[in-house]
Amino acid sequence: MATESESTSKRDSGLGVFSKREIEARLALGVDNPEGLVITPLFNRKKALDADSVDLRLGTYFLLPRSLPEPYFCPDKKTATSLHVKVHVPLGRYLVVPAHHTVLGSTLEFIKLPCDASGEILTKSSIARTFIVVETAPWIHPEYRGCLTLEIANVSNTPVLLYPGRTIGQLILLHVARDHDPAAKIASSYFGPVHPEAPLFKNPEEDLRGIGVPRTSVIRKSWIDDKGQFELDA
Amino acid sequence: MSSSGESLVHEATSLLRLVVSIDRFVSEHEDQFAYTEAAQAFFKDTHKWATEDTGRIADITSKAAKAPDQVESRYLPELITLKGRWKTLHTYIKPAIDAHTLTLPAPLIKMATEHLKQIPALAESSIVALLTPELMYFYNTPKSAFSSSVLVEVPYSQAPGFFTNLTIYHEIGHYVYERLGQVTSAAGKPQASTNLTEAMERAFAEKLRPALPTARNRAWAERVLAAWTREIFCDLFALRNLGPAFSFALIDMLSLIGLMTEETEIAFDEEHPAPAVRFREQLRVLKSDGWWTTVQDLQTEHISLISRLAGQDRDNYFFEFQEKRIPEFTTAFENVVPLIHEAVVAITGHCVNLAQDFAQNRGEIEQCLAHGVVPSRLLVDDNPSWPTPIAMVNAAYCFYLSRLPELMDKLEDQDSSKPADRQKWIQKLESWTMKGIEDYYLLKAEQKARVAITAP
Repeated sequence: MATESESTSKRDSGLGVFSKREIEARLALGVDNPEGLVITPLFNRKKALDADSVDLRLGTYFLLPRSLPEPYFCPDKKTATSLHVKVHVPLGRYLVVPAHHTVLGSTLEFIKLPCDASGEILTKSSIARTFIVVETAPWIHPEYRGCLTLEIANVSNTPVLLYPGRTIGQLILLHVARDHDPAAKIASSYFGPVHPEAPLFKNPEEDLRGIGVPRTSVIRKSWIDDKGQFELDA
Repeated sequence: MSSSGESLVHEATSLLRLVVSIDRFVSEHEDQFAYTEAAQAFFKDTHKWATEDTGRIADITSKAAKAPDQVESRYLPELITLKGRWKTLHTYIKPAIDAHTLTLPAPLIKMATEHLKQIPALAESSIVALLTPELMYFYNTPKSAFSSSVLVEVPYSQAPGFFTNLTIYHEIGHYVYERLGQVTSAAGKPQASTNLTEAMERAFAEKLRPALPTARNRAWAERVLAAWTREIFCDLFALRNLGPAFSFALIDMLSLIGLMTEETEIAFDEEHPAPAVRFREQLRVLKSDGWWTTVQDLQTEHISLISRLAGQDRDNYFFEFQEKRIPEFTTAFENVVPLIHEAVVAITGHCVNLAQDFAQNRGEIEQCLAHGVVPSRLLVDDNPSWPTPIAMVNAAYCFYLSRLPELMDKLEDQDSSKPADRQKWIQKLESWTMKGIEDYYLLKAEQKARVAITAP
């Protein structure tokens, strides 16, 4: 059995960005190996793997911003799913992203990260030069599995067409000095999505109560009748 | 203008309004969502029929104006025929519009279409799904205008799911049975299909006819025998294509609608043979095709239920009509059953290695699912490979029935004894399976494209 110092030394020697060779070695490990990497489907593997990254393609499902019935959006349990409308754009078709709009998409590839690697998703440079920016929250935790939800912003002054199936981002893997704990439970909230997922929120008062905030101001829709009496909307 | 002339103009206008309204309805909705290729073709045809029939309506009214004596005898009947066609279309259009790719298991429809096209006489067929408010799957008899489309009704509540929707293969079986019955060329019609028809006629003549006193009874009895034959054909067609996943889905569906009770399991009705007979014949195929050895040890009630139903004493089966049991029906039917197997085997040659493929890959696929991973890429003997959709479907169903708690135990705050938690992970499992099937077809298309590019 390795001592703690040996184990630390082994991990330290591997710190940094994964090389192509290491990515390939991890892809060759079985799904039950905690250090294994899964990327599926991986088209044209030779081209998809760069010296230190893997090209990822755009999936076919999107969440678009919806015009809300309320004058505001509150990130809470009830409204989190009302912010988006889901659309499917099959391969061969395109999605128009208007100027200065953001949509949620996902990678076509389903990914499982190793227990000792974090991931970062970056916009492919050719895409970035069309004023499309992928991700403002690009970090992926070790052992994550699922198709990655991408925030895709068109920061240009013209509408841009997105074609599902084309490459859009690059996945970089970085070593993390961490061991797999077989007994540890995995967070279930964002486990294994195959389409872009709407955010999951608790109500603000639930979050704030946890840090000792006793009262939270909320907006509730209400009605006023002809006698001037207020009634909260059910 | 004569009153019959006015009546014709009135009829023509109301029909035109119907045509225009349906055409507009399709135009307004078809671009809002994505549809399967078959549904798109159906909508395209609808536009074409609308244009053609708008012209026909104008033609009929102008001709009728010139020949008022033929309004009653010729032009009104022509309009009524057209109206009948649009009334039928009216029934199908809205459920087809509702069945877009966000409300349907599109990978399942794709897979079923691929399977259907493997049957030589049906290579041009396609499946148009319709969402129905009924909690039941139906097959619609195709009319001549859309005879190459299989119109399958899927309950709207089940539509986004995967497992219970596998029973659409039974409905597709109805289409196959009907179309094979219509094939007249010796090349397109398998001999086994002809043999089946002859066996039905023989069983009816020898076993059943003597027990029936009147000609009216005989015609009805013939229909009952034909309906049972068709139902077993559809079950076996689905089973040959899908493997045990079909039996599991059928059990789940019949349970959902309350038809899997001890009282009903040995009872035939006018449309369906008893569930005990249906599962007895399914078990026979599961054994002969080599599926049973792989799934018989599965720790699930589905396996014990199939075994128990198949083991029912056939003397217990009964068909009751007007509170009277008529055993000659079930005796006659038993003579037909072996020929149904032959007819199904004759058209499902493409299914021959499915069980073997499943047995080889089941462990790896389930391993992926146990780790929450889409099983579209496996490592078999350290080499990457893609499992077939049918291997994925069956492994996923086996996993769902026997190992779901194993997956849930790995996750925070999930309790496999709580239906609310459990249903969430069944849904995930279904989504991974569908993604696996999608990936399979993507990888296959990519491989084909690569071969085409490198070919001299």
